[in-house]
Amino acid sequence: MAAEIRKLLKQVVDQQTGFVELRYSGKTSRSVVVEKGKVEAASVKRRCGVGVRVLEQGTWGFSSTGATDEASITRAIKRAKDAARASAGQRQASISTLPPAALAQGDFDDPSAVEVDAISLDEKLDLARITEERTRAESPRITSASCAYSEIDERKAIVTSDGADTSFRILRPEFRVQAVAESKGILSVANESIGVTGNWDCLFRGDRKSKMVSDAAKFAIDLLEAEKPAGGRATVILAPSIVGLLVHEAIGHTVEADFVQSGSVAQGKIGQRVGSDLVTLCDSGFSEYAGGAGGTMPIDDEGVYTKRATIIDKGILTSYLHNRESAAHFGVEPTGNARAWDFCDQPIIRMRNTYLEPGDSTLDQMIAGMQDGYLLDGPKNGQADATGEFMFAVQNAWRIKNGKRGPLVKGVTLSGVAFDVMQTVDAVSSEFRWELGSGYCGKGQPAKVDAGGPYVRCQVLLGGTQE
Amino acid sequence: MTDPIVSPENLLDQCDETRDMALKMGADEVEVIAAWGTSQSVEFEKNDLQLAISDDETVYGVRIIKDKRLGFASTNDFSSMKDTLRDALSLAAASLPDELHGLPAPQPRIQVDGLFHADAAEVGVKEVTDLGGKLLAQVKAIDPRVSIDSGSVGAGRGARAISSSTGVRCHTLGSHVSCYLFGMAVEGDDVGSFAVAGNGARMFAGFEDKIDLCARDFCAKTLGALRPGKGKSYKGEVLFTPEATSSLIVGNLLGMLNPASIRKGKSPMADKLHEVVAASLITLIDDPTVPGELDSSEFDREGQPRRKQTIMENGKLLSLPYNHYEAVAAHVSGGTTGQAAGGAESLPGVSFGRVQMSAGTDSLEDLLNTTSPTIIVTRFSGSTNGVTGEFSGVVKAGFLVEGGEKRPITEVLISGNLLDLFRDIDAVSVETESIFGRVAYPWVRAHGVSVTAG
Repeated sequence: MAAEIRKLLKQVVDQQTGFVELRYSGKTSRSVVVEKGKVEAASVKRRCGVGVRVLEQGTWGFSSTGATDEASITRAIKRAKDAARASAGQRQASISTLPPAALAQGDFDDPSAVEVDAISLDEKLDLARITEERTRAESPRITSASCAYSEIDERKAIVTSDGADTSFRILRPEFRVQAVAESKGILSVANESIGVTGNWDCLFRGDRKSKMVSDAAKFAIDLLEAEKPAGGRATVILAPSIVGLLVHEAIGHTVEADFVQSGSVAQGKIGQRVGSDLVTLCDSGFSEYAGGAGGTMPIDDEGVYTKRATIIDKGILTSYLHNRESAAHFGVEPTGNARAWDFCDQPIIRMRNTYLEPGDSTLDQMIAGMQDGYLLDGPKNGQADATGEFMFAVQNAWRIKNGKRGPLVKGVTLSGVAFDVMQTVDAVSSEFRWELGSGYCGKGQPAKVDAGGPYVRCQVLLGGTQE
Repeated sequence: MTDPIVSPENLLDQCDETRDMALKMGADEVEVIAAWGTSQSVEFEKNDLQLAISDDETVYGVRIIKDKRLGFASTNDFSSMKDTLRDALSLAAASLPDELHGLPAPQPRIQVDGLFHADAAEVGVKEVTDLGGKLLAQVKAIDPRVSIDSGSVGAGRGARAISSSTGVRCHTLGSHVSCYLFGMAVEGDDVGSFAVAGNGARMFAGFEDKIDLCARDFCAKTLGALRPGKGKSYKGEVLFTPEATSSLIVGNLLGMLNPASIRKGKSPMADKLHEVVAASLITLIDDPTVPGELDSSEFDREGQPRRKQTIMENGKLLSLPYNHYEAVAAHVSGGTTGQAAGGAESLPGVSFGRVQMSAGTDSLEDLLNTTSPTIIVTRFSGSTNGVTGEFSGVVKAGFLVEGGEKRPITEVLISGNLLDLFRDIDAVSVETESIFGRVAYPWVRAHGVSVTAG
């Protein structure tokens, strides 16, 4: 389908003058949710159309159409050009031209999508129903459970007047389990989720399904009895899930070149030390070190081949993340970070798979080397600021005392200033995992991203009780 | 080459046509919703105009019930409606039966005036560009240290229609104008916290004044966060701005009242109807029938009329929101309360329409004239747990008031339990502030909050 649309887009682009970018997106989202033995939702969402971006009189114009015929696309191009012309007078720094880039040509389908197509809706619903039932059966103290399966099957075609001519298909399945425990009127909740770019073998590799069920139930029950920690500065080991959140939210966003130009904390810091020697941080369109990373994509939404960008190399800030426009501004090559969620969204600078490179310690060694602190795993949510100041909520936090892992504590949030925290990193494990594939990044429009890394030991501020 | 014309009437015709097609294909009950929107906007990035957008789209959603089994599908392509109906029917066939599934009967319509203004609907890119230029210039004129990371000015119109096999048939037309700014202040090496400001209206006339307010609000927020110092750890009083009151206190309280969460054993508000759950200073009213307001509407996601309802009076919980399914599940005698929520791409959920919090009797000046250390929470960036009530997070762009001095702070976390926080509110201001051109909220003070400074 995308390959056929691509031919039509090429035909329309060839009739235009000036820079024109046409981007077809056809997305089918399927979702089933089972909760307490009931099918709470079963839905299919289909959304397709063509986004049109033009560079006219030194500024951008954008329009889109849900119709994919030649007349509708041509009409959308006219609207985008009219919009650009009407607004051009207000633009201060006009764009003369885009830099040459390695623009993609050809089809790049993900073959795993076909395998998931072959799995029936009944099987997907059964999977959610049985998993939810098993979660409730884990303990009489589990009073409520839910399980959700969803998948986004997307076909894209991108054609630009300066040479991009490509199409591809990407499949992103996700699976979530939630357990709610109750004791003496007190409730607690635990969530487990996974999301990948790939097929079911990739989603459920190993014994992931069973582990998600038992972990969700166990953590929900253990959290019933858990105490809150005292707030204050602490030495912590961040699990790959929290490392992922840290490198995405607190560092990744501050090095998006559009945000750098606005004055983020990373502005002017290229070549400066922002972390310890153990810190090497990258963002990649590929699934580095382990398969299935949720933000994997062969081509970005400007038709540029994705590649790995090394943001911090052994503690030194080396690169920002770019689209074609920001690459021209900074005089570097685009890094393939232009992304758009739907056809009606314009491409903006986004992360893909962001991670910290593994080191050579083991988790056991890192715990054994600590007198007092915490091991933090399971992100609940997180935000970061222009300053790099971040806040993450953690589901599972264990006290570490005299080199040994102790009991679970609850209600833990951690905070700090990212570049300051990176300077305190004194141990990095060789074990590496992608952990945020079921997450979505928000920047005016959603994006499927992933993030992860090794276990990392550092200093942060923990939120907690005060007497 | 002209654009196709979309009107509420022809959207309703398409809904009727789809409803009949679904019944012919074997659905027992069907509800079709269509939502169309068109807008002209300009977006800013890096303190400059970035992009002009001219857009429109129609989305259709179909809820089908077959043998008491539910299926839902949506599309933005009316020509593929037959495939969409097949999707919904297949999902219903694969789903489990649930006796509670059904669609509501039609109710008498209400009229809410002022939801559509032709002047906003007819605005072009040139007009929104000019307004955008004024917004950028105004921010820079106030203080060049303020940096706009992103923002927009836009205007447009939208229509919605619903048709169901139980006889619901309704349509509406609305207009909107909005502006939004996101960014921070930068002074040398000092980068301040993010701030967000916005405004909105149904009509274009007079919107320049709202642009001006948005610019001033944005500058005050961003500049106030520059050069922050260390905070202080204590357990005690915290003062929430109207924005923080709306998001942390009222937003989370309303979330816990969701009847689906209560039904599934995931809310601490189960069995709390007619009980005191908050301080006596708290009165909340849901009224989406106020003419001309952005959050007002004539009917909900299921085509049921909106109504005014008191949620909480002097801390006592008086009502819960319901859509048709949840009303049946909870055996509510009057049925749905007209609080079905959502768009054309999803099944109806439940949500309040336009919640107001009554102002209090304390002046803001008195609240700031405190003898004990008090953190002002301008914005809360953190985690709240709707099941347990626990909350913990960072105070953004906050201040410490101590010894008659008010100074900006950084790296300060607050934590506690929302159920305690609702009861520990001991002052509500007379003064209220509109949140992004919508409902106005007061300042609120609570005690017993754990504050941790870095």
